[in-house]
Amino acid sequence: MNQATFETKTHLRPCFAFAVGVGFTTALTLLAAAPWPIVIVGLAPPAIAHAAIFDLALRRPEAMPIIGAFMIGILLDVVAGPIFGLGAITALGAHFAATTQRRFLAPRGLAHAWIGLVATALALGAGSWLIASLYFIHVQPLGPSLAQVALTAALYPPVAILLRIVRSAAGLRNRRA
Amino acid sequence: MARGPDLIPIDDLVDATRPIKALLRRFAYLLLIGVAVTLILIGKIETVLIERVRANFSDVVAPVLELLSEPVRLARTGAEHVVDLADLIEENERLTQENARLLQWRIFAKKLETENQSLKGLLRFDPGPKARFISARAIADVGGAFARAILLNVGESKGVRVGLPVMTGEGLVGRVVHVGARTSRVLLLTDINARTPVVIGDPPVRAILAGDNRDNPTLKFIDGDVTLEAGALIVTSGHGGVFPPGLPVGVIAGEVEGRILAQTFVDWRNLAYVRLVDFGPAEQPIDTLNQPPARQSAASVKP
Repeated sequence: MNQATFETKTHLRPCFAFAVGVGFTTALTLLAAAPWPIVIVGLAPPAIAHAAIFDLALRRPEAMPIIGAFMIGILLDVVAGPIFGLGAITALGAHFAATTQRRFLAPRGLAHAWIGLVATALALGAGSWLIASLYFIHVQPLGPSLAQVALTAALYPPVAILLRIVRSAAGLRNRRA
Repeated sequence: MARGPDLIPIDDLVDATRPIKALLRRFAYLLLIGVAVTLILIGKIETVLIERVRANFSDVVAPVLELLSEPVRLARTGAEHVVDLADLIEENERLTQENARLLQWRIFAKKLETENQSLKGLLRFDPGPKARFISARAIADVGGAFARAILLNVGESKGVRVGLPVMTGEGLVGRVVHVGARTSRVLLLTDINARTPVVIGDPPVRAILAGDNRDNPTLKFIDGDVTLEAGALIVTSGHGGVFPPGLPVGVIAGEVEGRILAQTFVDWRNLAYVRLVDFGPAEQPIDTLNQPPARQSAASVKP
């Protein structure tokens, strides 16, 4: 009986990690969609969801599997996406970047992860700009995309610290690559 | 004692699904990116379907968005109060002067009002139905880096319909493009897809105000080779039946790299509250096809 309970718990552990990671990222995504004053200055809102996906996929992959990243991307598209599907592509991009760099970045500290996030945000910003320019058949202004990258980079450390607190509270320790 | 069905050990189930999982993991990125690209194509072709999905989903998440936007609203109000307190003496002096000036205007306005009433009486002028206002709160910025749009906390249940102009006390914000039961989506004047027929200055010059996702929209298709003055008033023209005529939009800001830019009256940082203006059933759209086409002019701005 005890053995069975233990096994069940072990098998349910990834589900719990998924619920915590994806659930918290969903809440952050909706919070980021609130009408913050900075949003309507002409600057684009920070891509908090991408920062959270990157951090969770790096530190605790069970908490942000690829399907979780895709779901968050679809949420971004439904709530705030000008191009339906673009949010899903960028979310998958953030997940892919974290997964491929995990071996190098996961054992290191926040500073290394931050550099990885900046490079990822730049690549995603450039990719989104290209897709949007093709979609609207009009060259998009670069300013909002660059502002979004800068804001995402600036907000990554607090997001990473917040996610660490959440993981710690939920009993999900960082996984070494 | 009845014996229950034989249970398959959980480890066997996990082992059985392992090859499928491995296959899915290998091609997961490709598969999901394929789905996302398909969604982009569907979104481009079936705009109505996607927007209906969005409107329904917005209705579902509206209470959460409203709840989450409340701390933002409180923080913004708090910050404004702090700034107001710091400027109290200066503000009081400015308001005293403004009040004195407005009192003079009041006398003039009263005189004009009396004159206006008597002239209307002489002409048997029918002002038509009065406009109806619906006040709303912006609960989410739904634009991102490539669009300018906001989500409001009112929808069909409050009488909102597609096409209603959205305004603040200062001027035109945009128009309702999609309506759910409890939410509505507003396309701002600055969005890349926004095209607003306007008239500039006096004598009026027709033009199209085109958003490009920047703060200052551009004036295009200006009627004739005219020299416009910086600071000239821009109001809606009513052409095409998109907006009623005369709604204040902004002023001419100047000319940058051959583009004539408009400075909107609306402060895009302060879009917490707006009002939707219902002027009644839409009038018969003006047949723009039978009107002389606006030439792509070489209009310039006099600084």
